[in-house]
Amino acid sequence: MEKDILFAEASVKKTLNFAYIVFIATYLIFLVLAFLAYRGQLQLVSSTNSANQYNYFALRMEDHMSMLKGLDAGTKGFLLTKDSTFLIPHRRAESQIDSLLTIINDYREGDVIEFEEMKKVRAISYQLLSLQKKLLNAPEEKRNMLLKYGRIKMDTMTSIIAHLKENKLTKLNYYRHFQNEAIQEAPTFLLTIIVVALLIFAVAAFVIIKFIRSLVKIQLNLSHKIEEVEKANKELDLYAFTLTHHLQEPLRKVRLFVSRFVTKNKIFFTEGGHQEEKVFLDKALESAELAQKYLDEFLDFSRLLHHDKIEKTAVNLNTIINKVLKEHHAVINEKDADISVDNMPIIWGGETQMYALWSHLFDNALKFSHPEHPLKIKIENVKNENKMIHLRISDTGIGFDMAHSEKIFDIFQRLHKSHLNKGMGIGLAVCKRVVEAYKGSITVHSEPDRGTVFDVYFPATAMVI
Amino acid sequence: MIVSIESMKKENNVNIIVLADDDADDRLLMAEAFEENKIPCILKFVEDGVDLLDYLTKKGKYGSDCDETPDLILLDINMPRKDGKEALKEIKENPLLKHIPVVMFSTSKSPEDVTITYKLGANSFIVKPSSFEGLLEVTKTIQKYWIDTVSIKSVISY
Repeated sequence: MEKDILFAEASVKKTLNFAYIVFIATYLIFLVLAFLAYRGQLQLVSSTNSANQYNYFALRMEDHMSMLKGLDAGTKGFLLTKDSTFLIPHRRAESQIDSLLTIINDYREGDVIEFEEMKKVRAISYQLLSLQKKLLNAPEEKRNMLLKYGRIKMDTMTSIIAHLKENKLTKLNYYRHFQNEAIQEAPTFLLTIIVVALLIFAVAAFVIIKFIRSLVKIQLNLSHKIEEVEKANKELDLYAFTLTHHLQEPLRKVRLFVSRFVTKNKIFFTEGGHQEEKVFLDKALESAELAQKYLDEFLDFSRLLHHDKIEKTAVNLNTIINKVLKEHHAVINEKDADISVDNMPIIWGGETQMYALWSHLFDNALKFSHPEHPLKIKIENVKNENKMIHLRISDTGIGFDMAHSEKIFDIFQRLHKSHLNKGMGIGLAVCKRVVEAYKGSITVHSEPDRGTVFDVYFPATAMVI
Repeated sequence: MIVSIESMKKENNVNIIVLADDDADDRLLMAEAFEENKIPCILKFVEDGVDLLDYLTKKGKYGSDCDETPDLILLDINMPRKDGKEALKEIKENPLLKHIPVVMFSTSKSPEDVTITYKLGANSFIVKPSSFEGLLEVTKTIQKYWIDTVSIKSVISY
């Protein structure tokens, strides 16, 4: 059984360490997975953004170019027809160039080169606008020159815009490439990590389940053993009880028949003067009586052990102690003992058990009185902070060496040989059993020639009042 | 049939005490004690509860030729076949028998046995003494109380 426990302890440590490692590893794997998922998502977002930006830019530039072309066409139409309706594009041109500004604003915090180029585009646009306005009023000989100039500016702008578009497309492709890479590589990577994590989990689960199984086995084993021990204990109890019970009858018969023999032969023993012979019979009777007393005490002890059968009520310890005092009345008087009793509590318990406890404790104090000191017995209800019930019985008796304090509560232990005939040493064992049956405890302090103090503790739950 | 006390006394002057005990030694010792004390009564023995009930109801081996009814029953508790408690219960439930005083006479000192037998209608509970002197005392007390002091002679005969 001890081997089992040691094994259990060692394997608990080992398995716990293993479990910690598995949990930390799994945690790290999940962190990596979360990071990868986050990065993939970010790339997807920036790639989508740059695609949107490219599309928006291209549309805007197309609009812009067509506006400039419309302006050019309007000028040419007006010059040919002098019809003012051809001038509508001119009126709208200024605000349309301004709308170009909003795109430029998008670049302010972005790419510096692109921003500069966009500024050039705007500048050229304004130049083209003023050129068109000049064209409307310019004399004929200057027109060709102006038109040519406009053509050059237009080409410059177209090339700038083309360059910008090219630039954006490169960027887009760059992101697309990354995205593709991520899309292609991520599944394999994720799959590998997940498979590894699952493997670790499977191994961990296997080890932990195996461990739990072995623990359960040990547990079952232990509880079986406890059951066996309890059964064996009960059997031993029963054997002891039955044996004691059975021994009582023959002993009673021995006493009855020997005393019958004596009464029947009264004349032989008294008038015949066979006193010596009678002494033998008396000794036999005494021995039988002593044996019977032992059995009686043991039976009482045995009965107290079966506390599950005992009916519990509210027991007033004052009543119990009064009863004990009354019972010991003769000896108290004989020893001229000075007895003081505090007001005692009411305890939830078995009356017989409580009586046995106090009777034995009091008996002990009374029995081991000091031949020279006057006997004082104090029964106290000690107040304490723990709300425990703390009761104390102290005497001024012969006391004993504390070296024996362990043995004193053992069954059949007697510290004082001179008191051989006063009992079989069962009293304090009874006390201990009773107190422990109520989940309390009993301690002893003693000094030779100074007296003995027994402290009895009951849990607060035993208290009624 | 109801008869007068006077005629009863003439017919049946001596008290009959029956001891139900399976232990032959105890029966012998009880006879010894009665003899030693010279108690004026007839002491009869039965060996267990079944025997006792047969004797009281005149059945079995105590057939028709026996028409006596005991004046006092001394009843042991632990007996084979039918123990003292069962026998006591049957006696006290039988309207023809329940008037007979029953004194429990047992080695048992357990408070449960005492309480139960009193509840079942026992009239006394005596713990079997461990010495012959004690037994002499007990039998003397039985004589003094149940024979000399109280009136137990049955007034009803069947």
